[in-house]
Amino acid sequence: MKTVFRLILSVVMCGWLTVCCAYALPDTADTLYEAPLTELEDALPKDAQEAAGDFELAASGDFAAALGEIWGNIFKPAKTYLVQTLRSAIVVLVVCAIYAGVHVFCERNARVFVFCGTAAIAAACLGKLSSVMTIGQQVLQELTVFSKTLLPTLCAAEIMTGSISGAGVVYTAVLFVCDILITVISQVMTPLVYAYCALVTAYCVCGNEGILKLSRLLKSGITWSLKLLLGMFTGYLAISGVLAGATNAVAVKTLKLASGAVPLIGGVISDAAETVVAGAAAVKGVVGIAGIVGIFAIVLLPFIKLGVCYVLYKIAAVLSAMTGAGELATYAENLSDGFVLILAMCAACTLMILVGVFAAILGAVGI
Amino acid sequence: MDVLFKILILAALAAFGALTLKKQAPEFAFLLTLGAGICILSMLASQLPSIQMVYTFAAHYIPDTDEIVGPMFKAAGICILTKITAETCRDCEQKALAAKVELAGTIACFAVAMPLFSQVFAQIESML
Repeated sequence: MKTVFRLILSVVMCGWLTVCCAYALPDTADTLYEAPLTELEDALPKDAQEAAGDFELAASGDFAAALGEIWGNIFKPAKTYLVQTLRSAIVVLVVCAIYAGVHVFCERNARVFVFCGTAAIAAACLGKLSSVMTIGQQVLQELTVFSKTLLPTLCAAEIMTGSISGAGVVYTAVLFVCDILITVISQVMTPLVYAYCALVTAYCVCGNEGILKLSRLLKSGITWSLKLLLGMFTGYLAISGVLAGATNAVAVKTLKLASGAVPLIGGVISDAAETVVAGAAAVKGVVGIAGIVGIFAIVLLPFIKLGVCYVLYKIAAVLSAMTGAGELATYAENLSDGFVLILAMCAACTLMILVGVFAAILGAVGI
Repeated sequence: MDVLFKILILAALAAFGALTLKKQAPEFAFLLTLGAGICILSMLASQLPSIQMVYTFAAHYIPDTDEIVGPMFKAAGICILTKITAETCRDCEQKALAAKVELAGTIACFAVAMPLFSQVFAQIESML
């Protein structure tokens, strides 16, 4: 009699627990979907929100469509910026062409014309360089703000899948290195880029080889520093993140095995746990994709602007060299390298955040 | 092309005439070459409207043309005139005068480029 009573009670409790889980999970899942996506969308700057457009595309997991919408929204501003930069690059080309003509005719006075030509190219390019530097710093600030919203959301979802130490590793590593990178870029590398531009200008005017070598040393130093920081970050994730992920995946499997050994209701707990894990992984996947779409919305237009500046001024320098402009063509080429340094700084920060996001996304499957 | 042929022929005739007159009357040789040079420059002046048309077309599409490219054209003109004048002085064996002309041309180039230097200094100041 007692056995029958216990059996009926167990069945009723199991049925009640199953019904509760079945009704609770969709609401929980909806809440889990909506709240992080809303927070992510609010954390985006205004320009990025306009570029990202309908965030529901990212929420649906259609990454290609979300990227396509971003491209459609930024195409017109990118085209306008391309035309403006093209005009500035043509000014550089015209100045170099005039110098080439004067140099052929008046070799004695050509040195004077180098001063004037250097001033003209500096007037055409330095303003653009300063605005591009502002764009780069703005991108870094916006990425930092966005990552401080995205990473806790991703790591919370990663913790729900069992990757506790993995989440901690990713969160700590990304934010720590991100802060260091932002500080180094704004306090050290930005003045170094300006110093590099000043040195190449001085080299064009006076032709001192020592100044040229110093400028190349500065450029190499900036590049090596970025590579070192990124290498340390990815190395730390590779060493810590992989091991932590494997440990947590084993722990999750152990927990599932232990819960399966409990009689009658053990299976229900195991199935519910698996559903929660699967739901958390799905939520994290959607949030992860939305986060990546948000990152692209922040960085895509600035990267296009930086790339356009570098490519157009490089082409102007190459064409100027073909006209025989000599020193002025070399100066234009060296200035275009200043743009690529700014592009490298922004790309380093973006890459680091993307690696962290992917590490958090892939942590759910034990990778 | 017609203008070029006229200039070539005029220059060749003036050089021959100057060579002939140089031994008997060097001052007339100088005047002959000076006159031929002025005629050549006046013939070239007829080509300036086409250059001005290109400049006007560029200024319409490139906003910085007057501020940046304009001083460059002026500096190029100063360099060319300075070169011609200095060489004319050297033809008369007046090297000191030629050096002074080149100095004047250098200072004139800097004066024309002063707005560019001011613009660069203003941008550097904004960066700092």
